[in-house]
Amino acid sequence: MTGFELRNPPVIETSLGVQFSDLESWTPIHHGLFFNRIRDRFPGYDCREIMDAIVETFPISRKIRKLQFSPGVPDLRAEYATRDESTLISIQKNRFSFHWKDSPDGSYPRYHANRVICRKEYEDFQDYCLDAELGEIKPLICEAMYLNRIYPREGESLNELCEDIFSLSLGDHEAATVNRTYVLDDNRGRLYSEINTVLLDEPFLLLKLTSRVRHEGGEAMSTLDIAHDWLISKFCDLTSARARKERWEQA
Amino acid sequence: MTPAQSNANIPTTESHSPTLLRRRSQPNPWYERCAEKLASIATLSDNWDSYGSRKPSSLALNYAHAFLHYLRNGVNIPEPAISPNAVGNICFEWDDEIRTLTTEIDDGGRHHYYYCYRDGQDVESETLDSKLIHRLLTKL
Repeated sequence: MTGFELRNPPVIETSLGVQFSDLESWTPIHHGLFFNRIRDRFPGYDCREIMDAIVETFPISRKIRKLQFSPGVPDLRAEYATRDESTLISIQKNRFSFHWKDSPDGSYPRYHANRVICRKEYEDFQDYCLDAELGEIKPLICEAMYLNRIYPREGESLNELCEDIFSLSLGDHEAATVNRTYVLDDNRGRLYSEINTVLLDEPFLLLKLTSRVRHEGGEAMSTLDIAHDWLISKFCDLTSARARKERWEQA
Repeated sequence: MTPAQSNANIPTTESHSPTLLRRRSQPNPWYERCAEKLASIATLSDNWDSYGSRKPSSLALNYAHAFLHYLRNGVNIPEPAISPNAVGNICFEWDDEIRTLTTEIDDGGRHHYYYCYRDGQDVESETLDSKLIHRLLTKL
């Protein structure tokens, strides 16, 4: 989305990812071999449980019992982090994602900057898959996720904050969650909006926006741009112009 | 307790609400059997049929599982025959005296379906919308 910029955005974490067809020959050892290739840029390494597949059905499906796969060599996910741990790459046999998270001394580098790194690393991963004879990456879904932490002003309650930003009245509550989903034209994708009250010493609202767009050819990064632009457009729909200007300094 | 209260989490099945899909209060009796079938398909390896077929795609299996769950409480849904195919997709098939309907679910969640009604009409197409398959299936 062009022409939109917040000088002081509430974003604390972003993720840009691609789900692709299973790399059938992928084994845990490929995580290690790939690590060798990128460890100068991403020296941190961690092995984790595989993330559930993104399954976007139309109409939307309720949470269902997870499908149990066969015992045997477990599928894993690896995370490769930069030295300051502000960015990391996550890889499994059917997903690549690039994550940025707020660091104490850092400010959000903007989508444009993150996209450049994401694209470079994604292309390197594609090259690796070809070099290792794992096959060509066939993108299926591109996903952008933005996590925003929104603090109330002094003396402002979370109710008042929610009303001011989202024009949403939460009423009397202990804790609240407001979830909504939206469908992109012709079932091209789905966007999830989740607003949660977080009751720590300093309470805040957590706004998570996740946009998923089906890849229909061309470069995966172009589909990712669609997902990102849709997410930003929805952020503008959900938040008041006054709040964006006064709280986050929209230019 | 009124009937509406007792079924509070189930969409209405009243005939004066034709826009709502009719739902069973209990899962179809074949549901668990089909779920087990999918789980057994998930255990297959490459060349499972000794003709070089690919092992079922984990993503196609997840979409098939979601589709099965979508049909779980549907009214007038006969038991599907579920099988993997050579390229790693998952097929659901209904073949009876009323119609033949085959849908192949790929790893992007797309249905590639073929429908043949006993009066001779047939359709071959693809869709992302499970509701369409459901409608074909319950068309009498």
